[in-house]
Amino acid sequence: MKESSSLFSSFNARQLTPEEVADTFVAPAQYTDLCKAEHTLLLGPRGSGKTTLLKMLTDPAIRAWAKKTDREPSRLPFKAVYVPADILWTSQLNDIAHQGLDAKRALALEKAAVTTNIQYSLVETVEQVDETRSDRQRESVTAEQIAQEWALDAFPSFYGLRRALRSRLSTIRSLIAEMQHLPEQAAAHPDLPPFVTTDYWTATSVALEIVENVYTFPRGQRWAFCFDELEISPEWLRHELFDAFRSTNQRLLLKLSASPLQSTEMDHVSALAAQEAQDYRIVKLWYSGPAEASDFCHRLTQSYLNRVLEAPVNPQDVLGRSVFAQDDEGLFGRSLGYQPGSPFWNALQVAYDDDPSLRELLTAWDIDPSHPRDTEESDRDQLLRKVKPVLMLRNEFRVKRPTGRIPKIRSRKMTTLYSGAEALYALSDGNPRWLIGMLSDIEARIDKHGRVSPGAQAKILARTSHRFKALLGMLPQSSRTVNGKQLALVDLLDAVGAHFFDRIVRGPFPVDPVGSFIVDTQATDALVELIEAGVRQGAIVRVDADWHVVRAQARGSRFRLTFMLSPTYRLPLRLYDAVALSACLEGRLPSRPGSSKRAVEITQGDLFEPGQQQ
Amino acid sequence: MIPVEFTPVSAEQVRSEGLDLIVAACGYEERAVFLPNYLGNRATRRVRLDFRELDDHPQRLLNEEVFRRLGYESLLCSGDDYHEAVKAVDDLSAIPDKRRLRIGIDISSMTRAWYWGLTKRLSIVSAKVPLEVFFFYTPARFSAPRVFAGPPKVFGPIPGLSNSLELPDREISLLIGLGYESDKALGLVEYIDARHTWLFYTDPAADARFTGAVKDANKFLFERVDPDNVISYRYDDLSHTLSGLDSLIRSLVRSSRVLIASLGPKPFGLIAYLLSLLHEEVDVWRVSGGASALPQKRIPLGQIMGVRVTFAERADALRAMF
Repeated sequence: MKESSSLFSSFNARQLTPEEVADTFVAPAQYTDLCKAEHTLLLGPRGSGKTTLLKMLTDPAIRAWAKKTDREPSRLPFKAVYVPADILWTSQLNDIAHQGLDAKRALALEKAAVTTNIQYSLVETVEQVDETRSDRQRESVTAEQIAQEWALDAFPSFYGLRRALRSRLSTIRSLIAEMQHLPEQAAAHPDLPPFVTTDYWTATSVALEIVENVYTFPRGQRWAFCFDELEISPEWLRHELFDAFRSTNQRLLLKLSASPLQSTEMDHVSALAAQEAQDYRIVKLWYSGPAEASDFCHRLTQSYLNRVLEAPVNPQDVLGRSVFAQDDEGLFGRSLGYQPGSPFWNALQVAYDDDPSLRELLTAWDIDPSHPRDTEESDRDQLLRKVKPVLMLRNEFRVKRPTGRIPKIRSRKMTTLYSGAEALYALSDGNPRWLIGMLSDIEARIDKHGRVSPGAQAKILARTSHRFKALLGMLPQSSRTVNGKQLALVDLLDAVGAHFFDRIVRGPFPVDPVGSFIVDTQATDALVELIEAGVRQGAIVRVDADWHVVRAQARGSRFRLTFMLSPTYRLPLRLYDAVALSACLEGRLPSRPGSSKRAVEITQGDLFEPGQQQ
Repeated sequence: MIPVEFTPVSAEQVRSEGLDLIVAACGYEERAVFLPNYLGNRATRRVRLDFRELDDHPQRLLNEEVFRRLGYESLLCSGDDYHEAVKAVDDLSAIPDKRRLRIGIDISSMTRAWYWGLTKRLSIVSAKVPLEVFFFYTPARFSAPRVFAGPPKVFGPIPGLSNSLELPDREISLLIGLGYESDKALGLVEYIDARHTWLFYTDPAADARFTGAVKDANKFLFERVDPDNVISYRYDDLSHTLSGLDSLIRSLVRSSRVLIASLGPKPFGLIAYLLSLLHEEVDVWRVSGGASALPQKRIPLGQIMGVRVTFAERADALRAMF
């Protein structure tokens, strides 16, 4: 049965067991930080591997990973309790408040449902602990005592506890239905069952004491509660968990995963951090530029291809090299490829003849395009490195025109510029779900020599890029109404992408290209919300100077478009200099039907408060 | 209360037997008045739900005139909100006492919020007043989807109409009733991250062009979803669709949570909502541009489809099964 009905969800850890997650796990650098005995806030856009990392803290996943890699299981300084959440669960929790009940009762029932989920997760964890010890007597004693503490009518086994907790959720559902069907009766009997007011910290603490006692855990055993998808969880829960970072109970740790939060939420967390001298760690799952993620992407691709080809392979042997990355430092060394006949040498000759602005630039720097290898001075060498990706792009998309004429742009349907291992890594932006999604398509195109042609790769990468953009246009929260006019996230991306393309390809050859933007301080709330929505989806990426700090505010922060969109907007796979967002949007926003049903143009005045823009 | 009977019924039969109440929607669609015109005064009480939105649309004004002539009371409601709409069935006890009240709901021009809201309210009301509910639908001639539909504003349950609360430990099975707006379903699939997806589309449809348009708009999904999970249903055999969907749900709920999303024709949405009342593990969602979405032409094809639904206490329904 196919399991990849969506663009990227062929690999979605949420639906996998810990053992299945471990089977394909490749640890990013951030995993080490997550394993430390401290509170952690794990931030990353959709698909960046948050759920995978949280599940990889649990005992069954660690055991399965050790078995697969033929190593001793890692000994983490805590036992992890994975608490799942997803959009369906959250929508059902939210809906309790809309069922026409008294607000206090509705909140109490919502909290009771959340507590039940946490209790259920704890029972599953304890069950996993017991699996390694296979002690039915202890299981029975533990389950009986927990059932008593949690007021559950359960058979004395972990399965019995889980069944009883499912029934409890059913009871909550029935209470809601009864209050709807018989409101008079509900009003006459206002008391809810005692379990509704059970506090989840109290309930879990008591249960953990029982478990530690029966299973004779060492004193000071730590437990890490791993809450997934916090950004979609009820607001009260988010705030309670952030506040719990200040907890003095050293036995209970929190590992919270969320998409990059909204500014207001980050303000709350930042305030806590300031008060408590940063007693938690922020772990980020996004990358400012392609080089940061390349090692992880390389290992993940290698692991994937090894599995598919049933032999150890080098991804570059299967996919070839990318023209954008051949001169990268670090992972792939310093091979500029200046020699006559190399792709870069050829491109330089063409551009020198056709592109007057490049000719001027090279003349000014005293670089002979026929003998670039003679370029020995480091700053000239540096210039050529900077020039190369832009030059390749301009050659691909500019049509030769007589001097002085406005350059014409070629509408190439397909270019093999976006192919090769490094291009694949860059496009994925370090997002494992995206990378595996593209690899699953590439897999089908491996020829009998174990290679995939640049054309086939480029087709897959371009198609994924276009589909991703189409998808962004269909997601909820991806548009805002400003002054009665609708602005969609894709409008914003189109405008920024077109601005960068024009600056890089259409205009004079840029020595310092632009490829990122800073949100003006005058940006309206609607615009900021749209940018934050883009960040959560991974369409827009924060560019952070300091790895361990996340700026709370979008205003004044620097962002770039995800490299996944580079084939769509015909942009290089590089992080370039920043420009004000207002400059990117000037004159580039579309007309949309407004409240008057007539097409109206969105102006700068709709998106930026009056005052001097950056 | 849960639905226990779902049987096809002809509009002709209902007209001859009469109704105690008919509720229809008055908006910009030409088909809005097709069933009311057919029933004439065969319903003792007649209520129209007037859209608060687009109240100056020329067709809306014409429809209002027809409804006025037919003696319909007006209830002004927002298309996004069912709280006003359900008032149409709130005072059923005022109708002279009978063994069973006969209520007609014409879903043809209603929003999902309205006909799901009315369905839920009737399921609650039927605990006190025995009801026979007749749902009607008038298929329309094909009209092309909007060129710029804009991003959907709403992905999710209609607030207050979800009937499910299930722990998130089990995977999600997503069942989508496809429509013909490009990539709407793909957006949903990506948003939900379901492990398994089933696609439902009408073939044959009331207008054959609709089937082709649905396939075009969802080409990418058709390529990605297992062909065994792509299911066509006849537009005019709702009982068969309901029983097929019910069987699938019964097998899926053993190991997963089930989410049905209704993006296409309204009868699928009605069936989905009735099944969510029947199965606690099933939730229903809509994906929509909101009530302020741009209007589309809906010219009636001249048919009326009807089903009769009754409700019973869950315990009584279970007793009746054994």
